[in-house]
Amino acid sequence: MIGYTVSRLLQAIPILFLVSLFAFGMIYLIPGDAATVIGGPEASAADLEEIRQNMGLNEPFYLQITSFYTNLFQGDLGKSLMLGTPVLDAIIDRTPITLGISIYSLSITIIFGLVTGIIAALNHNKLLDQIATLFALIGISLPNFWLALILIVLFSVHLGWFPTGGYVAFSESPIGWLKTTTMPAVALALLQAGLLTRITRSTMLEVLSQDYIRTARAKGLSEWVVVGQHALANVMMPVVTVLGLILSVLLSGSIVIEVIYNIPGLGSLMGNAILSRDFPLVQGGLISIAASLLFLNIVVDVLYFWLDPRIRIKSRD
Amino acid sequence: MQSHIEIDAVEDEPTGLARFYATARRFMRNRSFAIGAVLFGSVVLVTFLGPLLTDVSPNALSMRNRFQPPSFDNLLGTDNLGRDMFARVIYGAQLSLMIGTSVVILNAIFGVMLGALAGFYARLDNILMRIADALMAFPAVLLAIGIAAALGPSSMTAIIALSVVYVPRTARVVRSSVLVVKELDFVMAARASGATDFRIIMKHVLPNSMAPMIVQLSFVFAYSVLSEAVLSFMGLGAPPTVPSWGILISEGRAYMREAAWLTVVPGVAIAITALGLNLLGDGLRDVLDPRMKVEEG
Amino acid sequence: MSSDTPILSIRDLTVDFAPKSGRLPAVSNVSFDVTAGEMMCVVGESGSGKSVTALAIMGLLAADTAISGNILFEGRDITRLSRREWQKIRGRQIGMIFQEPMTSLNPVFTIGRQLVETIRHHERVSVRAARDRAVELLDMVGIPSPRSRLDDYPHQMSGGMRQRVMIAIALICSPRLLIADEPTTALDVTIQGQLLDLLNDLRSETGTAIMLITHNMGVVAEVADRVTVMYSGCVAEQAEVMQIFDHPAHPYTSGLMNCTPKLTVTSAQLNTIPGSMPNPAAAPPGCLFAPRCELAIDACSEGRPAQVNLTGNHSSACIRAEMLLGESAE
Ligand SMILES: Nc1ncnc2c1ncn2[C@@H]1O[C@H](COP(=O)(O)OP(=O)(O)OP(=O)(O)O)[C@@H](O)[C@H]1O
Ligand SMILES: [Mg+2]
Repeated sequence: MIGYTVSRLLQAIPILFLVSLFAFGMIYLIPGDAATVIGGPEASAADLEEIRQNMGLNEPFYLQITSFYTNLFQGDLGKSLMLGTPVLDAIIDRTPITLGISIYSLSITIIFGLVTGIIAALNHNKLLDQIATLFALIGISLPNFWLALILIVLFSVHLGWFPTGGYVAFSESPIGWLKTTTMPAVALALLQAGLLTRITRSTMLEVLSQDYIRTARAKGLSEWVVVGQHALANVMMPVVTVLGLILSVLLSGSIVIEVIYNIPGLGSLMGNAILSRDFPLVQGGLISIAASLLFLNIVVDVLYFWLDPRIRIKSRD
Repeated sequence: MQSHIEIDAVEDEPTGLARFYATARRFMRNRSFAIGAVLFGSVVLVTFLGPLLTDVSPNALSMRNRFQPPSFDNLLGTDNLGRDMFARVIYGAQLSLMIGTSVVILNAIFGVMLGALAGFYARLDNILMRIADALMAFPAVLLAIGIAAALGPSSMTAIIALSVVYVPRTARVVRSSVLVVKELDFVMAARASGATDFRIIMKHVLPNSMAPMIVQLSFVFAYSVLSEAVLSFMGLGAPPTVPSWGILISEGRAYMREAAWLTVVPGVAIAITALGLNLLGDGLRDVLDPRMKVEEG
Repeated sequence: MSSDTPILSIRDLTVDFAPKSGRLPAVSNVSFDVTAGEMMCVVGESGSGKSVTALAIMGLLAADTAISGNILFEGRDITRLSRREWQKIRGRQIGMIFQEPMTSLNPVFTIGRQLVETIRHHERVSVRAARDRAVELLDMVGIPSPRSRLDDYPHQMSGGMRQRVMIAIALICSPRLLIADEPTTALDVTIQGQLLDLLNDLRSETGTAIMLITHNMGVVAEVADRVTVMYSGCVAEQAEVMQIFDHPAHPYTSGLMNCTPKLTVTSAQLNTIPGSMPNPAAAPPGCLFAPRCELAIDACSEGRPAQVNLTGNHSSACIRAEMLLGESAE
C-alpha cells in the first residue's frame, strides 16, 4: 500500500515537470512581441518595459527558465499583472469558493449519475432505460454555458427563485450560499452526470451478467441485497476511477460558468486572467490546477487499490 | 472507414456497390447509428443547402426589422441589428463543421501517427505517453482556452488549441489497440518474414486498429463542436464579426428577456450537432466493436 | 434411501430464448423426475440444454424467456411463482452449485461474508452463531483450518476450494434438492474424484436428492442411481444406471459411452461421435440425432420421434429402441 503510493508519487514527478514546462512555454506561443500583446494597444512604452521587467522577458532564455524553476521550487509563481498580488495568494484566496461549488456539483453528479445509471441498467432495453440513456446523451451534448444562460432566464428572470449571479459565502448565510450556488452547480453537473450515468449503466450491465450475481440469487437473497450489495460493490470500483476525469471536466466547466454567474472563484479568476492576458496568473493557475488534479488522481488510484481486494491482497502477500 | 468496411465485408459480395449496401444496412440496423446519422446528416445538409434557401447575407443589417420573432420571412427571427438569424446560424454551422472537421483530420493524422509509434516502439512509448499524460493533466477546456489566449483569437487558433487538447487522447486510444494488434499472429509473421516496420504498420497494424479510432474521432468531433462554442463564447475563437455559434449565444445573451430565441436557437443547433455525433459514436462502437469500453473525456 | 415419491417432477418443459425466430428451442418437451434421496445424473454434450434446464428449475432465466410446461417441486407447480415466493425456495429448499467455480463467488466479499449473509438470510441467528455455523460447513466440505479461511477472498483460493465453498453455501439449509451443474468440469481429475465422493457422502448423510449434471459417462457410472440423457434440448433416453450401461436403447447414449475417456487410452484413440449437434437455426425435420447416427434409416427423418416406454423406468426417443434392446440382450 505504502509502496504503491510512493511509486505513484514518483511517477508523477516527470509529468509534473512536463506540466510546468508546457505552462512556461506558453508565452513563447505568443506571436510577435509578447509584451505588446500582454500590454494591449493602449500600453505606453513605460508600461511595456515594466511588463518585460516583471516577467523577465529581457533576460536570455536560459536565465528565464532557471529563474522560473528556482521560483517555482520556492513556491513563488510570480506576480499577477492584473491584480498586482502574488499569483499563489490569488489562487489560494479563490480556491475555497470553487471547491465548495465543486463539491456541491459533484454530489449532484454522483447521486444523479449513479441512480440513473443503475435504474437504466436494471430496466435494460425498457422504457426507463431509454429515457435515462436519452438524458445522459443530452447531458453530454448540451453546451453547459448555454444551459447556464437558459437557467437564468427560467429561474431568475421568469420565476425569480434565484439571483441572476453573485456569490454569498456559506459562513455569511447558508441560504444565500444555496441560492447563489445552486444554478451554477446544476449547470456544471450536467455534463459529468451524463458521463457518469453512461459509465455506471454500462458497468452495471456488465456486473449484472456475472456468475456471482446468479449465485447470489440462487442463494435466495432478496433482489435488494443482490443489486444493492453484491452488484453495487462491484460497480463502485470502476466508477471511482472516473472521479479524476469528472473533476477535470468540472474544473473546465467552472471557468465559463463562474464568469456567467459572476462568482469570484478560481474559474472566473482563470477566465479573467486569460481574457486580460495576465500570463503569470495563467501559468501559475495552469500549474497548480494540473498538479492538484494529478494528486487527486493518485488519491483515487490509491483508494481503488485499497477498495479492490484482488489487487490489495496480491501486493501484501 | 473505407478499409474497415473491406475487412468486415461478407466474402461472397460480388460488386463494390452491393458490398456497400450490405455494410450500410448492417450499420443502419443499429438504432443509435441510424438516429445519429439522420441528425448529423440533416445538420450537414442544411449547412450546405441552407445558403440556397436564403439569399440573405448573414451580416446584412436591417434596422427596420430588429428583434423580429421567427416568421415566414425570417425563419428563425432577426437579431438586435435586424440580421437574419437563419442565415447567421447556417454560417455558424459552416464554421463549426469546418473547425470540427479540421480537428478530426489533425487528430487522424497526428493521433494515429503518435499512437502507432508509441504502441509499436516501446522505447518511444515512455516519453510520448508521459507527454500525453502531462497534456491530459490540464482540464481540456482550460488548456484550450490558455492556448487560444496566447495565440490570439481566430478560427485557426481554435483548431490548433483543440487539436493540442484531443490529439493525446486519440493517440492513447490508437496506442492501446496497436499494443493488442502488434501481438497477433499475422503481424508477428510479417515481422518474422522481414517486412519493414513502416510496411507492417501501414498494411497490418493500422487497418486493424481502425475501429476504436473511428469511434474516438466521432466523439472528438462532438467535443470540438462543444469546445469551439465555449472558445468563441469567451471571445477566444472566431473574431466577433464572424457569426459563430458561441458568438451568437454571447450576443443573444444581452437580449434574453425580450428575444430569447437569439440565445435558444444557436444552443439547440450545437446540441443537435453534438447529439448526432455522440449517437454516431455510440452506434459505431456497438457495430464495429461490441466489446469496446466506453472511452469518455 | 430412495423412495418412489418424486420431489421434483418436470413435465414438457420447453425453454425458448427467441420464440419468433423459428430456431430450435434451447430445451424442448423435457420431462423427468427426481425422487427423494436419489442421485439423478443428466448427461449430454456441450450445448444440449442441461444448464438451461437447471436454471429453469431455479427460476433464474431472464424474465423475457419463453418457458412452458410444468415444474412440480414437492407437488407444487413452481413455474409461475412470484419473485418473493421464489426467494423462499431458492437456497432453502433447492440449492445449486454452478459450473464455473472461478467466477461464481463475489470477488469483493470474503468467503465468510458470503456464507454468513446466506445463513442469516434464512435463519434468525447472531453473526457470531452464523460464523460458527459457517466454520462447521466449511469443515464438513473438507476445507482445512476453516476458521482462518473465513476472512479470505475468493481469489485467494484454488478452484477446488471455491467449489467446496459453493457446496457449503448450497448446503446451508439442508435443501431437499441439490442441483450440481458440472461441479467438477473446470477442475483437475484428482479434485473431481474428491468432490464427487463428497457429494455422494452428503447424499447418504443428509438424504438430499441430487441432480448432477455432467457430460462424463465415467462420472455417471460411478455415482448415479438414474440417468437422463439429453441431446439438442430433448431427452434421448432415461433409465436406471445399470440399464443404461448394459442395455442402452439410444444410439446417442452408446456414442457417449464410447467416447468416455479411459485412463488406459491415449487421447489420439479417443472415440468421439462424428459430426456435431444440429444448428438450431436449421434443424433437420426428423430425429435430431439422425444425421450423425450410424443406424439411421429413412423413417428417422420423418417427424420427431416420441418418447417410448420400454421396460419399467426405461424410456427412449429412438424409433429403433426395441431393436437396439433386442441386440444387446442377445
Ligand atoms: N441466455 C441465453 N440466451 C440465448 N441462448 C442461450 C442462453 N443460455 C443458453 N443458450 C443456448 O441454449 C443451448 C443450451 O445451452 P446450455 O448452457 O444449457 O448447454 P449445456 O448442456 O449446459 O452445455 P455445457 O456442457 O457446455 O454446459 C445452447 O445452444 C446455448 O447457446
Ligand atoms: Mg452448462
